[in-house]
Amino acid sequence: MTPLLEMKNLRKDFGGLRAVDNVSLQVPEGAIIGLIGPNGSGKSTLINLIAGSTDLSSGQVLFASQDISDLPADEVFKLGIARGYQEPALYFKMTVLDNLLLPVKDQRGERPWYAPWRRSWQHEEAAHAEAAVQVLEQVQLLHHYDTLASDLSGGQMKLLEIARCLMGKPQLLLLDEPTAGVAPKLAYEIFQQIARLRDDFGITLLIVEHRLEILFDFADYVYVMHLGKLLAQGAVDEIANDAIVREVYFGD
Amino acid sequence: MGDNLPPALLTTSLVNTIQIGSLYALMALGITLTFSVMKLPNFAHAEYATAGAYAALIVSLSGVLNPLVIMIAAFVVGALSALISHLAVFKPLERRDVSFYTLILASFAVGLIIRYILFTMADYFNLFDLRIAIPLRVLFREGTLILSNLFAWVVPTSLVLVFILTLLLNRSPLGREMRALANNVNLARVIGIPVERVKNYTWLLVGGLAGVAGALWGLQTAVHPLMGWGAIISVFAAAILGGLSSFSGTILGAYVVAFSENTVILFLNVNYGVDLAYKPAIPFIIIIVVLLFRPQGLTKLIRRAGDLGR
Repeated sequence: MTPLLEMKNLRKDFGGLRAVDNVSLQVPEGAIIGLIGPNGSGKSTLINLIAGSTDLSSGQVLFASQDISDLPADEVFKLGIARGYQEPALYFKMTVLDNLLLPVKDQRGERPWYAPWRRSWQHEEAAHAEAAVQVLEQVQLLHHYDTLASDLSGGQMKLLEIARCLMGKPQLLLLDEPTAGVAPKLAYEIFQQIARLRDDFGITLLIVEHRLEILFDFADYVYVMHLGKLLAQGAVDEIANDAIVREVYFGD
Repeated sequence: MGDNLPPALLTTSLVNTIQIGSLYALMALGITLTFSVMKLPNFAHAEYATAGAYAALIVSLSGVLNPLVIMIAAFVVGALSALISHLAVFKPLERRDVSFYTLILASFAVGLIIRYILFTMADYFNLFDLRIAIPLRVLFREGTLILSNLFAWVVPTSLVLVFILTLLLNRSPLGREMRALANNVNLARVIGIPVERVKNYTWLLVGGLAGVAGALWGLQTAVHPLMGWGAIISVFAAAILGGLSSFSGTILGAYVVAFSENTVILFLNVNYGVDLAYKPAIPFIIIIVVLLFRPQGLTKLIRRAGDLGR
């Protein structure tokens, strides 16, 4: 079976620095794939390359057998790849609900000849809000729907970001350290909800994560990067016990 | 105001303040919106108003005297000139990632081009200093104060349009997307907001409102290729008073500028013999003082829901 996402010999140079060096990896449909490595190993760059936020120096990215290597971020998003950021990227001065309604495609009320006539779009808006409410229920933020995003806790911001990704009904979700700066208990809950996204909605996940003890509980397969190169890959228990990985990662 | 200012003069100047202030507001909101959403201080903005005024004039000269039709023509022509200047000049420049200063200069150039196209046209058809020919009727007369049906058109039309625009920005999906672009355009792109489309819509709105402002202006004075350009500094002063980001601040700013240009100068003239010829200096003084002492504008003073970046 062809994987949902396939990267072939990706390379990215920033001036003289080779941030990603000949990396190939595969994400099968319905899997939770972990991507780990020390700081500066090129994980976030790799996410940016897939999402179209950074241009490739060379190599190829295939999504559902389609070449998306040169597509800009918005096109990639439309194809069904959503992403979260290490620092949650939200509209902090808008409410939680507004943050979720922004990415809805082809809204009637975004056209200036409809926008002043509330009656022409309020029906549709209510349906979108209903969808947003369901997503908020999934990530357990429903009672915060009218809160300004800036008033949420760090963990809730991460959840809101995931919720916004879900509004686009993505097939693949790229998450960059979904638990960074989040209290340990909430971190585990975030991963439980991520797992539920896969189990209930069949969403495939590629997750960059530093909290290995949690990641290893949920991931199916793990890639390890070091200095821009792929150092190792394998099922969780292989990676957890791999001597080289332990040396690079933990300095054992 | 001072005891020396005759009440009749005071009332007339206050009526002018309301009338001119409403027109400034209509134009200044456009400048605030282009600056927030497009990050462009657009000095060509005034010419959309002039283009709208000429559209209104031509429609009225062709014999159509229904003010509504005249306003719609002005809106359409203003909107199209704004959209065309975006598609032909600003958008290609943005693609090349030019600096902020290049964009400002480009906006001056666009303004010049539109202005002199209008000049050429006005020259060819002899359309200088004509008034949009809606018949004048006196609605109210009290001493020297005369309120005509033009006042009844200018003020409510501007106020209603300002109100609709504010609602649009704060309550509609289009406004939500415009606020998102104003806040973080890269994120807007990543989460799939149709950024280019929203920009086009914004230009249409902004240019259309300027066009209507120009037509209303031409109703009360006369249409001339330089009329927009003559107002641009006052309009920028109003937008700068709003911190170039706040709707409520911009509206308040528009009336402050109009008040200074009409009532304050009169007060200074009567009490201290300041020559009325200094009137054009007022918006410059306001701009300099605001930028020196309160570059954030009036925003923090009022803190209302109209702010783009609330």
